Amino acid sequence: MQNLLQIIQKYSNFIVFILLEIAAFLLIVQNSAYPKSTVLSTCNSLVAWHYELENTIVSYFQLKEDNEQLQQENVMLRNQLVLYANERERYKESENVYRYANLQHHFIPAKVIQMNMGGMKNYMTINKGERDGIKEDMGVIGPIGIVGKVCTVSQHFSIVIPVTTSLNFGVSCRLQKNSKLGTLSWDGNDDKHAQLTEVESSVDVQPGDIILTSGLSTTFPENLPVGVVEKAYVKNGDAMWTIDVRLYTDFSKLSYVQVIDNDIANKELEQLKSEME
Amino acid sequence: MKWSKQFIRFVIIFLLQILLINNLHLSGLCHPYLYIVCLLIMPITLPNWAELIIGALVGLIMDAFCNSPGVHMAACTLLMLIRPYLIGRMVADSERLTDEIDLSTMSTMSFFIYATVLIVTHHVMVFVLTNWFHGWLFTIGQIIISSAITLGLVFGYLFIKKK
Repeated sequence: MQNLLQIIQKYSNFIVFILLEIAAFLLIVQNSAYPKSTVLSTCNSLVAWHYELENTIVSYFQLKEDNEQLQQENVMLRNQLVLYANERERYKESENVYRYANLQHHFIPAKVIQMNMGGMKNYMTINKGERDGIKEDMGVIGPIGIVGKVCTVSQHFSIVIPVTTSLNFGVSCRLQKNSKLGTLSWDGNDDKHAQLTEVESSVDVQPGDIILTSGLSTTFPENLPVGVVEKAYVKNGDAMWTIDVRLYTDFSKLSYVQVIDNDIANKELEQLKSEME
Repeated sequence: MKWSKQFIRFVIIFLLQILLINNLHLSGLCHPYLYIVCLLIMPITLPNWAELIIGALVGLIMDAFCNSPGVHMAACTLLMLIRPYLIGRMVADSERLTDEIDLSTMSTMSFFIYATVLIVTHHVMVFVLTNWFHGWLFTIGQIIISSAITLGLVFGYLFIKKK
């Protein structure tokens, strides 16, 4: 007994060390995919408060760029509005279609208060959380293109994983001109480009083709802009295209985003599924 | 009194790390972690187990800000384990060393070796754990460049402190 106590006393440092390392590795394994813990991550309100404070100061230096981005978005939306106003005139009788379509999604505005990009695992923190109706797996879009999806939510803040992440959550996309489907992934090189995979080499793909979301997953509704094909080539003996996509979203300038609340769409989908069974 | 000074310095260096250094998006390769200077120059009057726990806590706080639960904790705990042995090697009469460890208690050369070993250990742990073994070349590049910059920052900090 005394021997045992002596041994414990002799190696007490090492035992404390081993225990602490085990705790650390448990934390790493538990949070390996994305930070699941709301305490030990940037959506901890104390940590996020810190970043928000920093952001209120830094954001003044970005005002010009932010304004330009918002202006660009306004122009895009106005153009769409003109288009839809004409369309609406034509289909006046089927007004219900529009009402139904508008109900499915609504958008929650949010501000990016912290971002770490440039590594393999990229995250950003936004200043809206559970209280504002944000839930996990909701899609996030920027002023021009898609951004990512929500992974962790606390009371007032949430963490978003961008499409340029090693987690590759696979956004379902389509080519605008021929509606051929593909999946967006990221090769880990830079955050301005992503890769469109699973497009057969028989499909006609040219640099400059526009890529939109397909709406096959409920995270993103249909026809949101994703990016432009920059380079497309077929590797030797491959049946699929390797397509480099330049994303519309410039993560270095991103400061305002919108979270897509797809609750209604999800509920309707579930209802349909249960009716099928 | 001595420890309250340590605590205030810890807060200041942490703010510097989070508000300034973490925002320098120079390149994916450059991620210096100046905050470990608090651990490097901490007096060695505490028992080893207490030092280990302090290291783990400092790492955990950093983890919360970096969205990497456990990574900095593991690295800082390892750093605190090797630290006393290294001081024993570098300073002949380490029992009499009750004050902070810096350029006034250690010669510049031995402090350089001491800091390099600890910084490299910490950075190897952090980058290997964050990248989870994919992209070896990238990880090695990150370790070399970030360690060099951290070392530069640590010496810069010490020279400012000396004045």
